[in-house]
Amino acid sequence: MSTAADRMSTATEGMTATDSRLARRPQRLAVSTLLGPFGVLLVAVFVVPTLYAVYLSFFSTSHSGLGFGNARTAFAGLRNYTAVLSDPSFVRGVGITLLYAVVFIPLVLVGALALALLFDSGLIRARQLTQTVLFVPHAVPGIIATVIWLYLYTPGISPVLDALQGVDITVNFLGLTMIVPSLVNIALWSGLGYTAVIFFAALKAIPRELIEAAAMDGAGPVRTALTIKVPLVRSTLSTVAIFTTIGALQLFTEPMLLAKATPLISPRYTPNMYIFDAAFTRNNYGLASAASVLLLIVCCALSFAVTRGSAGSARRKTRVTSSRKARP
Amino acid sequence: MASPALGRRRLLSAGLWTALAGVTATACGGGSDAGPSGPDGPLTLWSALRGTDTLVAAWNELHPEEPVDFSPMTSGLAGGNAKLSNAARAGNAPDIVTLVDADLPSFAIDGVCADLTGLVTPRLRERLGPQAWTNGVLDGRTYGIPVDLGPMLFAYREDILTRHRIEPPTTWEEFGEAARRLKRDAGVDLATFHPNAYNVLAGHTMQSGGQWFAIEDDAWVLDFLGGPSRRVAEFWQGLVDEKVLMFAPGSSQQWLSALARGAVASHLVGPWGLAALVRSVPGTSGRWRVAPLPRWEGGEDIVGTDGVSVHAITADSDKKERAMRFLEWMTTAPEAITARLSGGRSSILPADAGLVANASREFDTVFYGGQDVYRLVEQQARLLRTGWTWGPRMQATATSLHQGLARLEYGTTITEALRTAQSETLPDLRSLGLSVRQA
Repeated sequence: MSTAADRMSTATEGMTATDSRLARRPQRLAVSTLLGPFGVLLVAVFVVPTLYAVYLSFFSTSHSGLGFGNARTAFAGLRNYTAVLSDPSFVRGVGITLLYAVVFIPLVLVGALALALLFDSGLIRARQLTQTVLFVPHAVPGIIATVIWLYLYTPGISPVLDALQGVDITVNFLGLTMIVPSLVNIALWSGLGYTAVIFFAALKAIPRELIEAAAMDGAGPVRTALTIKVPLVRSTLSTVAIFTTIGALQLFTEPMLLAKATPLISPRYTPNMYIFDAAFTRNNYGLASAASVLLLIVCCALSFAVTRGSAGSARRKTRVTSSRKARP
Repeated sequence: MASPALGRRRLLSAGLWTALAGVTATACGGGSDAGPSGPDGPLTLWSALRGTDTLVAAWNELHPEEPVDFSPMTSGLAGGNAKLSNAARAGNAPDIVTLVDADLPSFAIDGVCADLTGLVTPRLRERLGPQAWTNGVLDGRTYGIPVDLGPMLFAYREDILTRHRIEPPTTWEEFGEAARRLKRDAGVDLATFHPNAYNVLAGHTMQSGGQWFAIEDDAWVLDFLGGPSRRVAEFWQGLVDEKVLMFAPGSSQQWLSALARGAVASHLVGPWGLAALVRSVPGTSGRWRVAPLPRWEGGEDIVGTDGVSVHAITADSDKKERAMRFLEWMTTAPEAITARLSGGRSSILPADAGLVANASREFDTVFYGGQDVYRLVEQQARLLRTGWTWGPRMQATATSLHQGLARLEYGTTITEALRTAQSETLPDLRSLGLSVRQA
């Protein structure tokens, strides 16, 4: 949200600086026309539901004693929040999601960056074909992707497992220790190509003179990639990192579907699944709302931290590069 | 996922989605199933219980002026419970619904089930005994009309046990010994541990005198690891660790094929399971017998319940008296039980003892070698324990327990699974504002 708004505001600033003062009024009209639908949607589908969730988490169905025939809606204080945080299944879900994030995020970022650098360096033949092949999985909806992988993971029907069996390798992709790697694998399959395309677009925007200058200074392709290209796409990297992190925290579709195949994935396997289970299996909307609000806070805090962190490091970086430039 | 667009969309949708959970639930609660039909329309009934179709047909033939409109539903854990909750929120709930006994407290607390205490006629109250009412009465109020009784039984392969000169065990100690011998001598598993059958573990716990949930001083007391519960857990853990039992989910292909092959020699189940067994492994007909469930040595001569049903009238129903008339007929009329069990479609033991003879007539005993199964079942039903209470959110508790039990293969223990299930049940109850404490 904030990033989109920021981008808009920088755009308008740029315009006001360059355009003449006379253009102000129609410009204001244009801004409100362009931002209006966004604002309406933001309020209708984000702000209002969020506030409603906060309300539900504090004013929820309450009982007393054994609970028979005494349901009423009452102020619950922090009761729902205490319940969520003291629920071992929620805490475990957070742990699993963090484990997933710690494995998945570096893999997808480093992997996609490496692929993008390879595309950019011209080392890969049939670049467009390769890019398309890598990108296609992204067009497959998460549910379908999981069904495809579920087929490949299930012993007895999977040709991959059969082939592995042929060379005496037995892997249970749905076994206790393999669940997180299996999930990471699905996410990588669908996300790697897409992320690589974003990085590649950012790399394309780097002025060629810079690369040529580096080459004239005697930097090889690896050195150019690591010390020139990567620092210059840093802001893209951090933006993608935010979205990937938030996406990882909201892990839902893949484990939800895999849960149909193995009882080792519980209905409360990730925080998002916990919320779904609380609302739709346990009919506990107060609890579900409290968990949603907690998840939202964590996501916002993380986005803020990453934005702040990357902005700070970008500033530092510019200082370093400019001082380097000044030296020769 | 890695894509920014999806990431943002998810952030938005998750917020929207969970916040609007109530609204969505209301919206999807509707559907084509018969909902309320006005005070003069037909009674609506949702049920997953076998034989309800023929039962309703019989009623509609006898009482065309008070027709019942029946819609089959999936069983509770498989989605029936969610469907009912949603329908109740949307005001589309049927007049009558069949529930598994374990789910009754949950729906009573949520206000889905009406308090029927004042509607039950003295005749009905008297026809069904205390063993039946224990499944429908909560804290002194009646919320469900019991339809059957479920004493757990020991159905076994007579041919396999005879071949290996093993008597049907009468105590759990003998059961363990028989399991060890059968495994050693024949490589056959005496029984199966189902990690997805909280009801079976609960049945054993009932028999041992344990009490996962108790009501004391207007508060729920959770005690999943009391002495008797722990004894049950440790007994089965021992057999699982010794690898003398099969470990497979109930209803799984793996288990059914083992039963059909004779790789498993018994099935511990309530009366309803006897007809189900006939359907599951028809090829083994004539080789099965039924015996009382083993007892604890020196323990009381009692048994636990496995999977009985109750019928509830929904709180929003505008035809409660009519619904009650239908339910009284369903539970006490000979023609009702005959219609429900006709052709061996079901083998429940009617809660009304006066109907057992009718039920028995409908059950073809060829599969069990001509044994008078119903006589045994009725005797066992008299030894059913009363006073067991299911928890306020039993589906969640059960799911949590199943997760733990599924991990037995990875070194978790039954005791550990029980402990986790208890600790995962507590926050839910607390957030509802219920008085809860741990024993």
